[in-house]
Amino acid sequence: MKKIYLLAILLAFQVFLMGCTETNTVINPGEKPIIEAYLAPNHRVSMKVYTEIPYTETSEGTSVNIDGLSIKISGSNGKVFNLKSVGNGVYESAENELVGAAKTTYTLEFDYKGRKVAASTEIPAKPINFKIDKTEISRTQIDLSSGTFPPMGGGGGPFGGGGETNTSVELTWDNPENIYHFVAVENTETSPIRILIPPSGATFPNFRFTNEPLTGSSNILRSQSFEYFGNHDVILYRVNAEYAALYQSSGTTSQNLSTPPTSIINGLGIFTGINADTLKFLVKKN
Amino acid sequence: MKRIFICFLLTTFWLPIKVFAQTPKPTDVNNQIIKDEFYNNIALPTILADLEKKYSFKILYDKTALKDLTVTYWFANETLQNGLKAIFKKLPFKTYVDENGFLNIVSKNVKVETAVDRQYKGNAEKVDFTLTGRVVDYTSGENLPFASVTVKGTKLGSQTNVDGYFTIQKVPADTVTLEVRYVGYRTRYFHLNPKLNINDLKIEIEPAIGVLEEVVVEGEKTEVLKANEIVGMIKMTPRNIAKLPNVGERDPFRAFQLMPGVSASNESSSGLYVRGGTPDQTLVLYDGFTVYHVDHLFGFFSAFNYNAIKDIQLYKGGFDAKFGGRISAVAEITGKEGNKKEFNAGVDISLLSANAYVETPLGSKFTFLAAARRSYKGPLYNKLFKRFTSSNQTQQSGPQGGFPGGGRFGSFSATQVASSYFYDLNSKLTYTPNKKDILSLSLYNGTDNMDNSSSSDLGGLGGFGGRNIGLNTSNTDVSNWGNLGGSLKWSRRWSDRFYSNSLICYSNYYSNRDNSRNITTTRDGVTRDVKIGQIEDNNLNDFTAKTDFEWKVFSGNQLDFGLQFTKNIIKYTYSQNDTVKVLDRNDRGSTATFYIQDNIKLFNDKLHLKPGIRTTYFDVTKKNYIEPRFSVNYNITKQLKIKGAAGIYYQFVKQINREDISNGNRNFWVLSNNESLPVTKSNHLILGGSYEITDYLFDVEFYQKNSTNITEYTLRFVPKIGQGLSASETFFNGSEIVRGVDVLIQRKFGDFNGWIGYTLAEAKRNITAFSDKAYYSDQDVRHQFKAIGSYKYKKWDFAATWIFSSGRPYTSILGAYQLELLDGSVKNFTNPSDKNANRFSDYHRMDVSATYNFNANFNVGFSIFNLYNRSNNWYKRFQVITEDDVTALQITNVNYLGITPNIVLSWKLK
Repeated sequence: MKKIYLLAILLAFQVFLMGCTETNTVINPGEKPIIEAYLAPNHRVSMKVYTEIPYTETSEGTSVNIDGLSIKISGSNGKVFNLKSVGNGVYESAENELVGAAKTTYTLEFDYKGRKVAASTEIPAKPINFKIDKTEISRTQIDLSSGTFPPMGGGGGPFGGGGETNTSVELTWDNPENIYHFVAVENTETSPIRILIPPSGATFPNFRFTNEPLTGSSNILRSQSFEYFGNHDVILYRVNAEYAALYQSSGTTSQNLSTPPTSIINGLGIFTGINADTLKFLVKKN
Repeated sequence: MKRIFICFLLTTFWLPIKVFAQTPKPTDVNNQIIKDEFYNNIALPTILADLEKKYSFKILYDKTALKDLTVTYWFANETLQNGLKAIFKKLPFKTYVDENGFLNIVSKNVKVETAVDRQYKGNAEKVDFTLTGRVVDYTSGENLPFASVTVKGTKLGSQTNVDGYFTIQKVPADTVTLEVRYVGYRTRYFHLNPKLNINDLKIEIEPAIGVLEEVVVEGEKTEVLKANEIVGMIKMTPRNIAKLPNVGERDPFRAFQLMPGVSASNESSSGLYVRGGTPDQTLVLYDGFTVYHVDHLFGFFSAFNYNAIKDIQLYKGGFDAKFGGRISAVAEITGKEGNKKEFNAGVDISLLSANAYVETPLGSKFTFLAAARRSYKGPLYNKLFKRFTSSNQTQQSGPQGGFPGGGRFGSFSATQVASSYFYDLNSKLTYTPNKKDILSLSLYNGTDNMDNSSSSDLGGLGGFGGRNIGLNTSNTDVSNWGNLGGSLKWSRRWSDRFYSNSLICYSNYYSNRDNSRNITTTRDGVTRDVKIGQIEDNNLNDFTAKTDFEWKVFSGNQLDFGLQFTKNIIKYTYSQNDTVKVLDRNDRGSTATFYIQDNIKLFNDKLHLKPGIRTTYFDVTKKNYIEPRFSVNYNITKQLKIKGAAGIYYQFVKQINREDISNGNRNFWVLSNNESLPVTKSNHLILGGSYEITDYLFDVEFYQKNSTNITEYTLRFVPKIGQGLSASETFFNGSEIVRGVDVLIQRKFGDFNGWIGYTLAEAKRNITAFSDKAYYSDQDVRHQFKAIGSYKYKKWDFAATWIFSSGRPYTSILGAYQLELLDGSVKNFTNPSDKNANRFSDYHRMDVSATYNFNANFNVGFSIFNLYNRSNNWYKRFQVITEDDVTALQITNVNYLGITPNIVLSWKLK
């Protein structure tokens, strides 16, 4: 009796082991190229193509630029760009081949590792009625390089910069259809001067304008956010949903990984049309 | 019933001195009140002689044994017995009244025997009768549920019900011996005699307390756990858990994780991953009401206070028709009623929490128990808290802007205001108006509050001609969750064959999480508030009314049937930036259930069959769900047993488990519906056998569970912005197959005892949205080996556990990349691999503990968790870093707890 029982256990065990089926085990890193392309009207096409940083358990991988692909972008206006590989993963259209006006649709196509990589986007309209409530502000330079805190009237933090013009700059535009807009600020000086000189040996974190694409019709720039004196371009971009999607949080641990947002088939990254309006702005030195 | 006591002594040198008088009756004499007698540093025999002279007390004692004891005591308006009780509190003696009414003084080691401890020699007066009684704790007088009572030498027997009562039909004679077994208690052989009341037998059994175990009579042994009675069931009493190693709290759920078939490698959850299932698939009943969430402190401990618990049973699968609504397992917890004999209180203090309880009889018909526990911010608490929140802080440093802290720059300051705690409270009031009815009200409340908020203040920029400009940002990161539950129970023994148990219960689970940045700007006295981040709110209400009936139709056949009605109201909202509601669910549904199950014993009770059926109407889907259940036990020989169970199980509420704390609420409940969240169904099949001899148990069970409509929640698939998340984009359904075998080898008794458990299992899911091939479930573990040993040496109890488990699967990345955005900033992206295609390295750790028992009422426990400081993987973090124009991928292993010592001091009054 006991023997039969033991035999039954062994038999059941055997069946159990043989019952195992195949599951996911294969990983193919780097099959998809990363594309970075922003198409702006009346500009040449310039895009970057590179590999992802492959994840391997053993060696440290890096991102490699991909050159020598034959990339074609065809527009709904009948114009076709045959991009030229200029090195460092950059592809450009000829100098006289410019992106068309708003509402033009562009389709990207090329072959990579036996797969057809494709994406399409539309050039959005130019922002309407972009206004700024002041064109200049003044800031006082703060020099902390000596390591001492400079005396300032009435106190005031280093981030405020002090002075009466410590204020906010309001940007407005029309946006009845709640389309995504995005504000960027660029210093246009050739050798910009810092407003806040950090203590020697120390670096300050980057006080970038941490903006996100918004569907509203206004935005505020804080005077404290400016890092440099001089002329600035305040650019209002009108962007598509595929660009806004980049700002969604993506996981960083094995518990919360999410697929990166992209509109590219067999590829990753961004291929999108943009349009912009630019205003001038000056940060004066007190 | 009048109890008759006689004295039986094991000590050989015992020479009793009898003081005897004809009249009046010794009991009356001994109950006299001693008004005022003061003895200062006088030998005890002298005191006793003096009292005997003055009051004519009838006392039996050993003069030589007591001669060295000098006592200072003031008898003031009390009986002799009470006075002696107070004197003997710290001495190794006790008193009892024998059958002639004499007061006996004996050593505490001496086992006091009564008539029922010896075989009755006379002839039987009754044959083939029905015996009814209850099993009671000798020290507290509490009734003991689910104790086994069998007629010795036969298979005839029964189990006490939840109130501690049992009925055995067709008892062959009133002179047989009953064998009463209960985990954590000494087995008692109770010899019937014709004078006993067979309709209300009270069997007292003694808990196996370490210090008193110096004299162990053959046969009076105790087991740490019981794993062989019913298919897939394990039974434990909290008393046994105290001696096992712990990481801060003595935890019944952590103790179950040491059993084969219950996963032990999920340190971040005290929930029960039973046989490839997830914790939400385990029904947790506390005094009849459902507890929806069992975690304290992010899951390091379960929400159950072992001081308030009398009994726990875990059904690992194939469970009875009585239980439903979950597809994996059932943990049935019975709370203590409180001491029926006298007031008692106790305190436990560990490096993590303080725990106190009181229990008392209130009059002759009420008992009351209250137990409370609260954490305090000791070093251990901080260690555990940081383990969970450090990952969080790195997540947040991005949006926060990474301001340099410190006072160097004057007015800028960043403060971390973290106040976190957990507490729980159990209380129970029991009313026993007569021998037929028991009414009890049980309440439970537990809360966790985790605050990891910080605030930074850029104020003080003002002072410019009366203008005041300030900028405050505060990071709120508050999670709080908890349970509030209660049940009112009425049980009645209508006759010795018919019993009912009716309950009205309420259970609430809530979980809120506010992980957001509150930005307040002040300009010229005008304040503007903006909230950026995510806010989650889950609130579940369960209203249940149920009645269970037990009808012993005839000997060898018992019918269980019952009705249950449950209404669930579950709300879940998930909003971003205090405006956009990503998910907003408000589910209502009710289930109406009827079940019936027959217990059939055949062939001299060798074969035990339990066919049953459970049918539930769910008003959301407007469908009937029929669940047939069947289990069988067959005793081939006295030692060898084969067993099996099969059944269909449905689950109507689902908990969505999110491992990742940084991204929000870890768990929330939702109700099934017709569309995106179908009712989960599972088919169980269990086959096994066991071989049990006096000191050892070998047990093997094979199981397979086929489940359909398993739901998994993920934010893996990022939806297009502006559309919000629809249920179909975050909930994915598929099927799961779990297969495995649990092996248990237990050494049940002796100074060295313990068990070895091994599980070979596989859990595979098939959810097409993730992969067209099957993938291993998150909780899938191939091999799990557990060795638990405890050793008793003098006043020390030592215990050690070693756990080895193959690594869990995880989702890795194929690669990562960076994109430059329009403002020139760079953002990192990771590209996930196939779902769960990788595995962590093996998990193993050893825990040890040593408990020193000063006496029966006071002990100190030392415990070390993860003794050899093994780094076990919890999860991996992937970051893209750029240094000197080289962009590379950085992978960090985030590990579970390293070596963690703890001390627990336990004291109780009685």
